[in-house]
Amino acid sequence: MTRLTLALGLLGAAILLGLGTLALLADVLAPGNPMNMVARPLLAPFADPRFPLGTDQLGRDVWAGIVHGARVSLTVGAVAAAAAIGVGVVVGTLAGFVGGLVDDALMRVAEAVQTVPTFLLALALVSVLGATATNVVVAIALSSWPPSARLVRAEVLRVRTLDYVDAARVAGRAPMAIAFLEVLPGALQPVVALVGITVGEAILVESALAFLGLGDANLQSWGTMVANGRANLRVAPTLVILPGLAIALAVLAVSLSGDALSARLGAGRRAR
Amino acid sequence: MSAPLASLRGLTVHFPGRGGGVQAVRGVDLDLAAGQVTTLIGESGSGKSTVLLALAGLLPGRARIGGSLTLAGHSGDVLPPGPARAGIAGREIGVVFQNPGASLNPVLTVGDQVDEVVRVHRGLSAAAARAETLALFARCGIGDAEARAAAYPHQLSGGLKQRVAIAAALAGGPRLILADEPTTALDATVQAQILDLMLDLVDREGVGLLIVTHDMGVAGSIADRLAVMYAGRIVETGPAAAVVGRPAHPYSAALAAAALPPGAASTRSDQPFPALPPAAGPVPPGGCAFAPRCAVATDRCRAEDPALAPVGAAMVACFHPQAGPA
Repeated sequence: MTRLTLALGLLGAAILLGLGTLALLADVLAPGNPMNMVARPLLAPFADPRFPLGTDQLGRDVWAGIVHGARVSLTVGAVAAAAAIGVGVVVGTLAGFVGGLVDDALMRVAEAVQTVPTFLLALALVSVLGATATNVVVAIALSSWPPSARLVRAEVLRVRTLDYVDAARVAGRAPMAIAFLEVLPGALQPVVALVGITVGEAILVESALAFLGLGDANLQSWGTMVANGRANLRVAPTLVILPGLAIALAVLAVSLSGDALSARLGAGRRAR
Repeated sequence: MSAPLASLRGLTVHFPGRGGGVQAVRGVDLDLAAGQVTTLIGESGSGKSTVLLALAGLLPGRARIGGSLTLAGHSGDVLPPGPARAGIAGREIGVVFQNPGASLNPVLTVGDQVDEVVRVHRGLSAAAARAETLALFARCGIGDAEARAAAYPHQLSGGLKQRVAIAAALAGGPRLILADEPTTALDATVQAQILDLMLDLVDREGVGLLIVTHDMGVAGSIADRLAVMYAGRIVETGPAAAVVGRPAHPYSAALAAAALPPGAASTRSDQPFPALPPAAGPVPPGGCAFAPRCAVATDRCRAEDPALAPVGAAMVACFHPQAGPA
């Protein structure tokens, strides 16, 4: 791993830590509901020390929107990515370990899901299920599990031929116990490389859904803020730029730290 | 010889494939008794490992398996895969693999791995299973068992890893242990210790042991009974002393001559075989498989396949058994 990758990874981790702190301390940094109208509309940034980033067209505090939006974006991103990878790991392990018809069936489903662009599928699902935070998570998870399923399957196919799997079999262990307790731990390492990509993509999809008005209407999300600020782009460009920057920063941070993490693990693997 | 723990009858294994596939085993009978070491010996491709995999139930699904396997205390044939087979894995038959570095899971502590096997077979709580594991480790000569149980495989030496693998094979309380070249991957000094441990288990606890090896030295020094395999068949079987000391089959004789006797100087005259072993493809009908490499083969050997017949204390499949020094 080069020094640059390490430095960028640490930078990404620092940004992520900062955003995470904002999200955790949202109620302290900006008490009250961020949807409340608190001041004159379209107040410019730095004009009033109480509202450092100004207000939007309805007089809502932009700073409060950013910190509370961090909570929504990071939570949805992390939970949706965890659910997507969780589904992928289970499907990939079953497909790789059981093989045969089960493998064929599961992989054809994965391919079918992959033929539809992730965002369009998530969009369709949220449209049908309804725009709530839970449904957004479900939609992202259901549309982004195939890459991890395929990766885990490939690794399981490699690991299941190793001696220790035969050893577990002749020791009389149950097939599913072998698949998930013996084979899976050995197949998980490359999945780490997918975590950063999946989380970053989940944040983007959540923002895009919110931008299209399919986010949870009761939560202030970065995507919603960009959508609302669009109408006043000429008079108050910061209403779009600030939440847009937040989205970009979050995705960049996740992907930088994810890259560094997988480079670190990859280096460890080669050295062995 | 007491009643056998396991009786294998007429084992045939065929791997389908292009050009008729591979007939890896062509009719093998084997009896494994309690408190006895049986060694299956032969060169690479002779089918000896395939016999062990068939006994362990580890042959791939595409293999066509014929014959039957009966175990003492079990009615019926447990050779084909299925519920009967699943019921004996680990409980009646334990398996020790060649390379302990590969047969232990690198991401689990060795204690956890043995605990799991103990729990599967005895239905114990985690604490009781660990106590059982530590007892197994002690039986297998693993000192400081508690600390070792918390170690990952890469933290242990090859010999210790093989002791753990043996402990895992014993965890279900099997009366029969199958070992595939259990010492090949180990240092020479450790090899002797592992063999001693296995012999000790046979003598003290009366388990039956089948060792598959290509090392005539190992085979001769520890086996009670020896079976020599060639091209998917047993060509000679009998008490180890007889087979090693006075091999009657030309192939066994050549193997014995090729082995370096203990304490011998390294300046020996090698006795190379005249040709490579036959490809494990379809065996031409009729004729002894060893005939093309045999110094004493006659026209009859090339026309007719000899059956196992008693020669002295052993059973030999040859028309021209060697009259070795009595």
